[in-house]
Amino acid sequence: MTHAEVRSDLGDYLEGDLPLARRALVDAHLDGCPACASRLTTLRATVDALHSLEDPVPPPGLAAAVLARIEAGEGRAGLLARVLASVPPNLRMRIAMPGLLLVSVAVVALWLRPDPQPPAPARTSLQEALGGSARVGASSPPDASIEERPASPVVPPGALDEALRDPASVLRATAALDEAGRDAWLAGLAQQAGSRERTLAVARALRALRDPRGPLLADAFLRLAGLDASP
Amino acid sequence: MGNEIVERRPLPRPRASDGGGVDPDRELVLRWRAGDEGAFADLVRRHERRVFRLLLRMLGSREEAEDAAQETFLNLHRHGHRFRGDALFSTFVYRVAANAALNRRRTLGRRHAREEGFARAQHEGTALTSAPPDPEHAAAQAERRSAVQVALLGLPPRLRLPLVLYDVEGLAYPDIARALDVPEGTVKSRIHRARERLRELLLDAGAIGAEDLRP
Ligand SMILES: [Zn+2]
Repeated sequence: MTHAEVRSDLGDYLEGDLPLARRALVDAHLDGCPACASRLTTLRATVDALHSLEDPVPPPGLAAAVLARIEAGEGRAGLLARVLASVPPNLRMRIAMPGLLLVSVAVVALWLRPDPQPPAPARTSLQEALGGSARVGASSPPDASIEERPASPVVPPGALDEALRDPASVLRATAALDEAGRDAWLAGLAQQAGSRERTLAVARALRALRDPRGPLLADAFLRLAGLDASP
Repeated sequence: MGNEIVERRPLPRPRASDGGGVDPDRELVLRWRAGDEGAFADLVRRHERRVFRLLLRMLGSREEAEDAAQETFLNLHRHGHRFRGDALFSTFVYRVAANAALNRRRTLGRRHAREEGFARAQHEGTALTSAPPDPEHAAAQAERRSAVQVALLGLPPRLRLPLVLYDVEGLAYPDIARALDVPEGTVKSRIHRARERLRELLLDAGAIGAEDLRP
C-alpha cells in the first residue's frame, strides 16, 4: 500500500471499520513506516482530546428562563396573544375571532391525528417538522400559515418611546418574529421615530444592549430607516 | 518494530443507533401534544444538558451557548408539535439545536465569532475546570482543553457539527445523518475530514505531539 492509501484508511482503521484483510495490509505498512504510524498516533490523540473535554453543567436558570419566555408568549400558543397585545383594544375582537377559530381548528386537528404515524422517510418529515426555521434543507411546512406567521405585526403607539426608555423591549417584541416580520416591525418603529436624531438614538441604544442580537437589530433598524448602518 | 509505539486497538464505541426500542421521551411528547405544558417543562429539563453541551462546543462561549439553548427550546416549543416520532425525539432536539448554532454563527458574523469566541474559549477552558487534586496537572489539562475548544472553532461549521455530534455527543452515523439531513456517507466523510483538520490544528498549537509519540 502507498502512504496515501494508508492515510486515507486511518479514520476507518481507528474506528475499527476496516475489513480484516485491509486492516492487515494497513498493519503491515504501519510496522515499516514510522511516518504513517505517527500519523495514526496523533489522530488517536486528537480523538482522545475531544473525548477528554469536560461535560459542562448548564446554567442553573436555563430551564426556568425558557419556561418564563414561553409563559410570556414567545412559544407556540402565545402567538395570537402577542399579536393581539400589539393591536389597539377596539380592534382586538375583530381580529381575535377568526384567529381563535383558526387556532381551535389547528388544535382539533392535532388531537385527531392518529398517533403512530404512517411510516414516512425520516429525512422528509424531520425537514417538514422544522419548517420555516430549518436552516439545513428548509422546506415550507403545509400548516405553517395557520400558526407560525402573524401576517404583519402592528407596532403599538408609543413603541418608540418605550424603545428609547427600555431598548430591550425591541428584543422582546421581535424575538418570536421571523425575519420578514421583524423587518416589518422595525420599519414601523422607524416610521415612529420621525427624525434622524431619534432614529440614531434608538440604534445606539440597541447596539449597547448586552444581548448579541442588539447590534443586528440596530443595523436592520438603520437600514429600514434609510440610514446607512456604517458609522 | 512499530508495535511498541503505535496503539492499534480501535477506539471504544459506546454509541448505539436509535434503530430499535421505544423512545424514552415518547410519553412526555404525547402528554405535551395533548396540551400538558408541564410535560414540555420536563422535556426541557431532560434535554438541557445535551443541548447546552453541543452549543458550547459549537459556539465556544457559555453566554452564547445559553442564548442559543433558549432559542432552541423556544423553537422546539413552536415547531415540536410537528415531530412525528419516526426518529428519536432527542435526534429532533439535536437538529433544532444544530440549526440554532448555525443560525447564531451566521447572525453574529465570522469576525465577531472568531475574535470573541477565541478569547472566551481560552478564558473558559481554564475557568471551568473543577477543583483539581493536583494543580499543576490540572492546569496542563485545562490548557489542553481550551486548546481543543479553540481548535474546534477553527473548523468550518459544516465539519465541526458532525464531529461534535460524533465525538462529544456520541451519536451514531445514522442519527447524525437524520439530525443534519445529509446522507450517512457524507456524515462519515465529514467526520474523518474534521478529525484530520483538527489534528493539524492541534499539532500547530502544540496541544498534541511529542508526548503522544512516545509509548
Ligand atoms: Zn507510510
